[in-house]
Amino acid sequence: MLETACSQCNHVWSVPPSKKGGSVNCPSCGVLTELDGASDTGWFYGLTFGGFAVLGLPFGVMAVIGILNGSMSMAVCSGSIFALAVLVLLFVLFGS
Amino acid sequence: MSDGQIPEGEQNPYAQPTTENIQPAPTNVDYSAPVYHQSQYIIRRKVLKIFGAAFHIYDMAGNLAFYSKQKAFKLKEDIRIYGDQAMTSELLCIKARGVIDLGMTYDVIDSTTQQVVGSLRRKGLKSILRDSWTIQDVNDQEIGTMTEESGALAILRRFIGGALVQLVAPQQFNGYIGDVPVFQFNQNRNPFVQKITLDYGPDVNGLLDRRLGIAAAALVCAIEGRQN
Ligand SMILES: [Zn+2]
Repeated sequence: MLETACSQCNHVWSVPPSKKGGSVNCPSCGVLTELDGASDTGWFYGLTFGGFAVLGLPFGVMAVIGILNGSMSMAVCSGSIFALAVLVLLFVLFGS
Repeated sequence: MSDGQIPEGEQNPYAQPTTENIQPAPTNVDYSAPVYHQSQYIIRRKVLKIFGAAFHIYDMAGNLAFYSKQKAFKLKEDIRIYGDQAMTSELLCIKARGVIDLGMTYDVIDSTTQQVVGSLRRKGLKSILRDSWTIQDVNDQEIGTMTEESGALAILRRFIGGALVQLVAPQQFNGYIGDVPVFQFNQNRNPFVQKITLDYGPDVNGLLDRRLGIAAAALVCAIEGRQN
């Protein structure tokens, strides 16, 4: 059970764990209360940044290596893919 | 009365929390407004809207009954249903409890009274092959279901492509309260025009809270639209 307190009348009551992240009405005064802890927010950020670290970041590193070694084709190719990965990351973060 | 007693009519602030009272206070809202009680509606979805999907729900006379708009750039999905396109009269709010889509529960809130009227939960694993939902009361108890008809066609739709299958066998959802049919949603055959017919005609005994019924249609439209 999750314990929650009403922001208006301070009444404390329990709701089923399935309500996590949802909305409930205070049984005392009826005010709408948002329950925190959307259980998968951590998963969302973990998967998003984890995916970026695995699939995007290596291309950024390769682009830098390409620039340092004077290999422009490698720098441009890797840099383009890295830029695309950054765009996808921004889209997922701000578009969700 | 001794000093330790709580005066009559007041609540004990130190009382153990209970769960039996989570039912919201009875609402005085007149949701018997005719707009909720048409037996059929048609949803038209703007196909070209990229951010914050929006769609119109018309009654059978062609009048706008509801306008629905999904809030863009929200981590948790948030769909609002208004009585007009200018969005001056918000009627319902549908809020996801989490971020990741699979197996999500959506609370349905009557915006006019700020009362939770129930929730709709998408069955995660089952919905991979065939969209399957439960209709829940305010205490998260299952009161009904909504399922995509014809499992074989649902699988084809996912793996071959929605547009092609839509031409041959348009998507259909059936809703039940218990085992009693209460609604049917039918997609049109034309894949270029997103149109869904909502039929609440089977609910002759008024078992379905129509606010949940309209929210179910809005969710199907929003989620299917995104998948397509
Ligand atoms: Zn309260």
